[in-house]
Amino acid sequence: MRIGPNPVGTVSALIALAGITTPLNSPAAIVISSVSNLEIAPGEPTSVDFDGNGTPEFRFFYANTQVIVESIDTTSATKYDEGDGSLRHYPAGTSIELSQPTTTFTGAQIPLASAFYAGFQFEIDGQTHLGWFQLDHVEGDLAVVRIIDAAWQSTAGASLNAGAVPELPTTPLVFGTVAGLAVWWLRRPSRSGHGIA
Amino acid sequence: MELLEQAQGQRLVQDSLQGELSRRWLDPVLPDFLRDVGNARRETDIELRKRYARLQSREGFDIRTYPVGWCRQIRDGVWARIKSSPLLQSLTRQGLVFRKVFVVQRGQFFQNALQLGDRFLDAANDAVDARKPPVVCLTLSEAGVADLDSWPQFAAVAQPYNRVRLLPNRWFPLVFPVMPFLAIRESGLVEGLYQQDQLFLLDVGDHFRRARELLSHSTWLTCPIPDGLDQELVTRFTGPKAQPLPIEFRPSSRADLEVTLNDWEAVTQLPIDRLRATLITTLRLTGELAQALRLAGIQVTTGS
Repeated sequence: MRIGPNPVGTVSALIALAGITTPLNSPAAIVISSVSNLEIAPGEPTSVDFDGNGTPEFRFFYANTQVIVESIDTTSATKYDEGDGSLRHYPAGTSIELSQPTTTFTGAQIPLASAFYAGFQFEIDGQTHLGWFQLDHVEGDLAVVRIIDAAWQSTAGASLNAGAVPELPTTPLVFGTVAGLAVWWLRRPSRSGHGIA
Repeated sequence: MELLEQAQGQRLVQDSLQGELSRRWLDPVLPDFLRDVGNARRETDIELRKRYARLQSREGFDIRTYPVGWCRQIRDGVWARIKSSPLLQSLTRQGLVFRKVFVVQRGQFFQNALQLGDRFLDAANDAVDARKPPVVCLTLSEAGVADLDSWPQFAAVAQPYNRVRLLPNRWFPLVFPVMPFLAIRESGLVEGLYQQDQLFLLDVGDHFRRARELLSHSTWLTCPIPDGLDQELVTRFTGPKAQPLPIEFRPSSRADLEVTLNDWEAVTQLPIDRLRATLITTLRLTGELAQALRLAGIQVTTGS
């Protein structure tokens, strides 16, 4: 959750923030992972395949307010904090670089009502790609955490910003039509438990 | 990929062509199709019950009441299972639309359902009353469904259906066009009412016509605020001990909200990639605000 001391209060600030968290002219393509709103139930190891190639890269385990992220193979790794050895929290818009340290086994405390971006890397055809995933609690007081969303860089070795999502093709926008809106409305926050049936 | 499915939109396609195509291609295989849907529903039930078995109760979200209150999850589960079936694919190749829809049914209910051709397929028909058949398939006209198209229409359904009392969102002006209501549940819990983003996304393309109409609605801003709520919000969200929020807390008048809406017009001038990034950020922050408000646990005396 992007909660901080300076909440967004104006449309111009919102536009500026979107420009930071969603780079507009990135030379490399960012791919949104199909992993979305994936819940990690307490005590149940959950394997996660971020690039959707059928082979999970990581195993998530949630217990006692801590999420453990373990690499399934030796080529995948998470970015960690050299200070305390835990999963590094990347503020939205912070660059995730190949040079930053990684480990195949990290843990992260998940305080209530917080969300954060983490960095990871994995290999495709022997080349290292970078990515981010975002963790949060589900509905705050449920004993489960959730991988809200994730994305990875399609260009091997290229950095990406935490929270960055792909650019759209330069399709003309047709205002006033749902079809036009839908083209660029590619991601929708999932909400549950609002009583709509 | 879910992204492509979402991009199809959630509006109904109602034209004579879909009726003609349905009679020609769907009717002969309808029993087979409904059998597939029934199987998908049973598989979905098993998966959801297993997946959420450990979750504890939260208002309106409790696996112990399944399937009641689980319509979106059930609909999505059925969708995921049948979308690639050979029978369905053969139908869509003939021109029948197949999409998720979020509609108002008979002016009384929100429905997360599916449209195939000119048929309204409710794969979670028992999500309100568990005694009902789990799957029903009606023509769109029989089902009495309509697209959601205005905030008063939304409020008229949401208030009785979700058993909440709505308040005008005059505390978080930036997200007023996305979340123009706060809600008080029967328990007295105050929440941001953020259930759908269709109206906001449509409004961006319509110069915020819907939000402006709501702002000019005679009773919207004048409905009574429960005693103490204003002060409670100020206490919680301002000052040195303020609880952090992703969106600025700023009690606002009608004029303030009009200014904000005028500011929103600026987004329509953005390049498309910048616009998209702004909308994604807006929806995300609104969801986070709604969650933060819920977690704040602000209570009012119901009935006040």
